[in-house]
Amino acid sequence: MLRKFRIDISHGSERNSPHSMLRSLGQKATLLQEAEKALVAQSAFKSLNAFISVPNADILLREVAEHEAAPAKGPLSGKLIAVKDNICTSSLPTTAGSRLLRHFTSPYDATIIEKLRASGAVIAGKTNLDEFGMGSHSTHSHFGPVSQVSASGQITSVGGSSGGSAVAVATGQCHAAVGTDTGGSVRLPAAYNNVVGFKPSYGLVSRWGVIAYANSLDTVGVFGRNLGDTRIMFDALNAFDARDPTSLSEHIRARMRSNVCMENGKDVVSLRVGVPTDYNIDELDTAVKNAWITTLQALQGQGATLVPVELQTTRHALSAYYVLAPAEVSSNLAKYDGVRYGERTSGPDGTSDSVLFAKTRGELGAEAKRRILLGAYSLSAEAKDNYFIQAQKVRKLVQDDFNKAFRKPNPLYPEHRTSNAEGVDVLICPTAPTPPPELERLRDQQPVDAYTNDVFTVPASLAGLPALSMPVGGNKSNGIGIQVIGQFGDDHLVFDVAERIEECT
Amino acid sequence: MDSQHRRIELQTPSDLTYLEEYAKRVARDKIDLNFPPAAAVGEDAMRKKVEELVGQYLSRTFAEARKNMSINGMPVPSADAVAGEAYEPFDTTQADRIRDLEARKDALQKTVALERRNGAASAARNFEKAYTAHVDAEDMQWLMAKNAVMERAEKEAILGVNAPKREQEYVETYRKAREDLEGLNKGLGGTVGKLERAVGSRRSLDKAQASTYGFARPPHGSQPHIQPPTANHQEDPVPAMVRTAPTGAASILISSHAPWVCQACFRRLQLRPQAAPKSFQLSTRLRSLHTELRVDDAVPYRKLLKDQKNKKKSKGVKGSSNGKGSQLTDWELTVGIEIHAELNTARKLFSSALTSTNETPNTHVALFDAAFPGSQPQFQKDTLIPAIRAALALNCDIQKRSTFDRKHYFYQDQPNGYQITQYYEPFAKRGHITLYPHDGIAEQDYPSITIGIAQVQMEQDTAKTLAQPPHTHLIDLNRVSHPLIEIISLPQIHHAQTAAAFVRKVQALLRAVNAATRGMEQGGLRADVNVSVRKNSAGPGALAYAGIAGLSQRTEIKNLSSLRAVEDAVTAERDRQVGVLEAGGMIEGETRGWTIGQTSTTRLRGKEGEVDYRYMPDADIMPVIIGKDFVAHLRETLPKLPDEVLDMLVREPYGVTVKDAKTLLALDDGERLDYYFDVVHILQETLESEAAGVKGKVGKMAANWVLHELGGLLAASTTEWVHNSVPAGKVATIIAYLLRRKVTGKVAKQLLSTVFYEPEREVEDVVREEDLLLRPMNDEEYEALAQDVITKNEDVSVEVRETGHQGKLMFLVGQLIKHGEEGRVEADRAKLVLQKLLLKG
Repeated sequence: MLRKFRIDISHGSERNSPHSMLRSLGQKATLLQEAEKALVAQSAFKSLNAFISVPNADILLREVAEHEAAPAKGPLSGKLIAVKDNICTSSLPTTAGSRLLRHFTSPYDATIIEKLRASGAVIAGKTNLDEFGMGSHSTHSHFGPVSQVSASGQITSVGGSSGGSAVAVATGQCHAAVGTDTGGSVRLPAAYNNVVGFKPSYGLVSRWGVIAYANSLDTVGVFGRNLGDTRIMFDALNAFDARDPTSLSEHIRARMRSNVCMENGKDVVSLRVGVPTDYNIDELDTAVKNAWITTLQALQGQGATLVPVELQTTRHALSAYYVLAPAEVSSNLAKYDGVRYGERTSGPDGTSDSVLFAKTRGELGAEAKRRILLGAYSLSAEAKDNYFIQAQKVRKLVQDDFNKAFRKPNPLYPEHRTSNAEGVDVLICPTAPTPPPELERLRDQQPVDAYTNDVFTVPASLAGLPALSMPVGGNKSNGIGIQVIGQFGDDHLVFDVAERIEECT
Repeated sequence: MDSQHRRIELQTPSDLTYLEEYAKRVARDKIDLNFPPAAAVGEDAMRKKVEELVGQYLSRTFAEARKNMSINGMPVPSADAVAGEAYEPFDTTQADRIRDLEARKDALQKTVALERRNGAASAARNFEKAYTAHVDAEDMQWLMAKNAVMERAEKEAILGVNAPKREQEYVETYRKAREDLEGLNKGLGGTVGKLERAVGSRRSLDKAQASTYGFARPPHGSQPHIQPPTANHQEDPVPAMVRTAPTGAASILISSHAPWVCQACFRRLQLRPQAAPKSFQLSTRLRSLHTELRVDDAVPYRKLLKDQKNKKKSKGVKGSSNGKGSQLTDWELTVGIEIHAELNTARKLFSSALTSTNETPNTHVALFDAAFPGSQPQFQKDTLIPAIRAALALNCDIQKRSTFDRKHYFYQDQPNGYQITQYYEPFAKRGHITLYPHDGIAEQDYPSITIGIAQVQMEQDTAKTLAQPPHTHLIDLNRVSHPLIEIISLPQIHHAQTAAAFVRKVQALLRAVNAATRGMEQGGLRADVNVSVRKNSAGPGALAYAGIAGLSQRTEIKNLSSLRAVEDAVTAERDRQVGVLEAGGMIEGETRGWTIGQTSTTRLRGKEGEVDYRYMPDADIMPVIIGKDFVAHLRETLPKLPDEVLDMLVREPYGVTVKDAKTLLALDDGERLDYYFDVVHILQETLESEAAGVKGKVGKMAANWVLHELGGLLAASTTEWVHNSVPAGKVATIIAYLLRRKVTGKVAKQLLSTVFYEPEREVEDVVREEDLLLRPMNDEEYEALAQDVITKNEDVSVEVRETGHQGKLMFLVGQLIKHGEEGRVEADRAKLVLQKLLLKG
């Protein structure tokens, strides 16, 4: 899958080489140098298995050179952007990490690919992931697990499911990256890889061309090495798209803008920071707890008001998530029957004494099969009332809890538009209860243990809220992330507060 | 297990036969190639064995495949039930006989042709004039009969003498002419009979010979095996007719036995070959499997149903509905119906791809229709318009908010692995329709019955699957996501006949409001029925559905694709359930199937085999909010419903009789009604400047012509209704001629027949070329003619002059018409002039 990389590109055809092109223009080749550095990194960190497919290096560099030569198209002009492999590209295969789609190339580009290109971005490649986004460690991929080497030399989890994108950013294999976040799939890898990961409010970034995992929770998220890069990425993608039926309309976007008071974020003194006491669980690692406390103290030191907040339904959020997401998976993955695209097994699939499509669908990975079965069960007539319906109710309670906690009303429910002076502007909590575990130890884990890693990220997903994970403090290689969660549509406030945290920690 | 899967859908049994035969032919060709028959001396043992094995393989393959096929939604009967043609060894004597008979047949054909061209045609011409006079005479017959009676009564009372001699003479002439005419007809019939016998024997021999080749009938497109060596068959229409449509031709020839010979009949005979393919097109239009069609093999599905109906009728209506009459009096039948109807929309339900019915496969498919990864549904708001219209026609409450859900099951015709439907919150609820006797309800439901509609929901259609045996299924995604509505009735129907009437009425309503265009016969509508029975004396049952309590265990019969199937399946299932219960058994909740022509439903799957559809709200589709103003607008602009149209038709300016109005509404899925309105509309424009007396006749006259005159022609030619068999403009032109007194009634009928059989001719041209225009005589001409008649009928004239006897006067009118030039004497003007001469003068 990985291309052969020619380090010595300048020895190519002298006339056509990007270097010669640039020399002739007499410009300083910063973008090209940056791109070359990234290609070197891709080669050097190949063993981490961050990419599933990448474009031809010559073509890629020529593209960068062209951007460098021309006036900048946008803030991402000539920058290498890695894209998670569950986002459709017509230039590279889109596998979703699945054996069934291992030879699939989409006939169309996702909206966000068009948006990136319009901002001048160059697609650096398609990054590895858990099959269809299902996993917390990026180990459930047909193309092998993604890994990282910790400071102490151990091979540890990169988080999932957008692990490839996070690793690519962390190791300089690209400028920034796009991932998807359904229950924490951007924030968890961001925390484990010490980069910034942002999940926007549900419906802000188009999902057209994003292969569905759990469509009522799926969002497109972004990774950057710092807050500035990450915000630029988000701004480039944040737009209404008529092709995505859940894309927030211009009308609601306008309402959200009027709802947001930007000075809250700039002015730390008037900031009310919520501390969800229910997140202080027994399983919380000491180092993580310390990072949390440090962050809160620093903000308080700048004059912010800390407010303890009760989010009682949070303890049920994880269970609800693992009922709802598999239910949607069982539906969204029903199309992979081997009839239209992708792979099917040889020979007849569905005779009078076998189940139709069972052979082809049997080639899905173990985790995908597990969740499909879970979902099919929780939607069955016999179990639906106990699982699916209950989980929907819990989801509503989680949303209500958040709406009660925030100072601003939720712009999606204009009928409940009473602001709550006692409420908070943002919630701050850890992204994950522990630093990244060693991959070796994960092998013995029960699937449910892996699910508990998502305990802090899932609530914001259920409520569709914007949430950002960032490394804090001096030690930015400990794999610990702090999460900033805002009211629905308050995405920029989340970035503003994150900047204040960066300044003071 | 396999019953859970959708079946390979074929359109007619002949598709299956074709496939089988095709496979056999290919196999034979292959064998011939590898074991050339010429190369073998005597019997080739190897070839025989191979043939045997291949034969076994083929029959096994098709036997297996049958289980997974359905024809028009019905299970395929086993191979034994449709046993193929028997193979016979080649027989030289038979072949020789074929040749002999062929020659004899050709000779006979020539004789017939000659006779028809010279003998019959001239004879007909000669007789026509005489006959025409008698037709006019027939018009007068009732007058004369009346006269005769009155006269006799008068005479007997006053003079005591018999009817006048002249009248007897007249009657005698008429009788003789009629006999002559019938004699001619019989003579022709005899010749025709000979030809028929020849054709019949040829056909049976053809069959015998063909089966020696292994095929019962030659495939369409290829010429028959034996070409008649007729030199002049190009000019001679009869052999051509025999070649293309033997059965049709035979029935036409037989129909000439009827005591009616006119030019139109001859035209019809000549033109039949052109008319015939039309009716075949009708049946082939519905076929989606593009196999070569053998014309003589394709029994139209409609005809099948019609035949079945006729068979039933001849057996007596009671046989079908009250077979267990005495036993049934204590049992109450309860039926609920689900109807799926294809909405008439430009675009699909969840993509901007256009809807289509017969386009090139997979050309109307958006990314979402093919379920491409990453694609999402785009609800097409415009599809709401026909859906809401349908719901309004069914008197439903349109819901402000409705949502879409996913219904999951695996099948290759369903790209997403689920169907998007409205399970939890449908867009329309609580409707009803009322059925009247004219809707065809059971007598027990007279004078009317109201049936509740539980809900109406929108949903997607699936892809079309075309089987390419043995292992290939071709999938056409054009139909994926075509918008459908599902209409769910309450279980308030208690008679099979009313069940069929309900489906018929829903179909008519959907068509009337333009919500659906393709009816049941075109596959645009299908019904599932839920049937239960309950013993009246046993009290209410324990089950309930949609708020209707007291029901007993029901079964569901799926995929009924004709009204007849609905009625018969309900009857059969009722009888089966009663039988089971009376035998002390229990009814199981199960899904059953029905095949046309069967006497009982068959079990498809029980409860344990039911698919759990795992309904789930579709989070990608926002709830649909329908505004009150939008519904109000649609309600205001809703086209007239059939019952309203009926009401309108019987009032001015139409003034159609209730009987004719019902017929207009019922015929040809409403096409005849549209046609009628077209005719009336054109007439109203044409006759705008005419007197009110003329215009007032338009509605009634048009109904008479559209139903009876045109209907008569259709029936006589055994052709199905085609919207343009005679364009509305032509009928309107003819009626206008008549109303403006430019032609006589007889000529008008003749005109219609002409343009029916010779569609390329215009009415005006026919009138001009055949000089049919009424040339009204002036008063002097009338007087001269009248004087002549008065002189010739002195006795009567004197009597009229003396007594003013009306009957006698009308007799003279008849004489005047008879003596006048053909098509020139108008009865009322003749009467006026006679009155003037005899009574006032």
